[in-house]
Amino acid sequence: MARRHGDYAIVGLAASARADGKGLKDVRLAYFGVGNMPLRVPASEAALARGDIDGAVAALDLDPHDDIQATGAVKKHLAGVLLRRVAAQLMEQRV
Amino acid sequence: MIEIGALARHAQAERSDTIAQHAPLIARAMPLIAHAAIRNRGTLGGSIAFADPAAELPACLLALDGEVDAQGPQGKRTIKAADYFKGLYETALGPQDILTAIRVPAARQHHAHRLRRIGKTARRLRHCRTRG
Repeated sequence: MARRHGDYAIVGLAASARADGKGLKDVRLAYFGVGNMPLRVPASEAALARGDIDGAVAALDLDPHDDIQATGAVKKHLAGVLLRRVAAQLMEQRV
Repeated sequence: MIEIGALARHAQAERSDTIAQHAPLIARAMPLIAHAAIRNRGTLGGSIAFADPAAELPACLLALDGEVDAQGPQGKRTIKAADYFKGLYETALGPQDILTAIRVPAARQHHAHRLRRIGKTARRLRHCRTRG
């Protein structure tokens, strides 16, 4: 997805984790643009720490409202897309 | 911990080697914030105090388990990120509070930080040409 300057995010994800051997620890995922405030997703964080990306996407506990940019369903879908992209990048840094 | 003063402009943070090295998630967020003209004026404290639900920095604070300092009528207090965001544009800051600093844990070896977002077509500022 091209990064265009000056955009407001439809959905965004800020992620932090610690590489621990072949896994991830201290996974912290904070979404923005999906609710009234930034939201953590603990169930998805736990799944990602286990290396279960599909499980992390399935466990996404988000219920975004429709807004001027996108419907809630689109936002929820995009949240999963971002999770897969970010998970892949976080995993790249494992030893 | 890395402490960033509330009045630090986004543009300053964007150019900061300290933030690039020790708070890389914030460094990654910086170029995504609005555009350069906004980043020259906007401040990190302002962004966190405003708590726009679609903004990058509040999510960074939450992802990093950071904290903010607030100065109010009863003096100074520290508010952890998990306790800070209350609702739509609503934070733990009271009407007489001023946010004075933001702190996040310094990145250590083996830490990975990523920030991705999906946006629509840019609303570009047209550059105005002036004469004289």
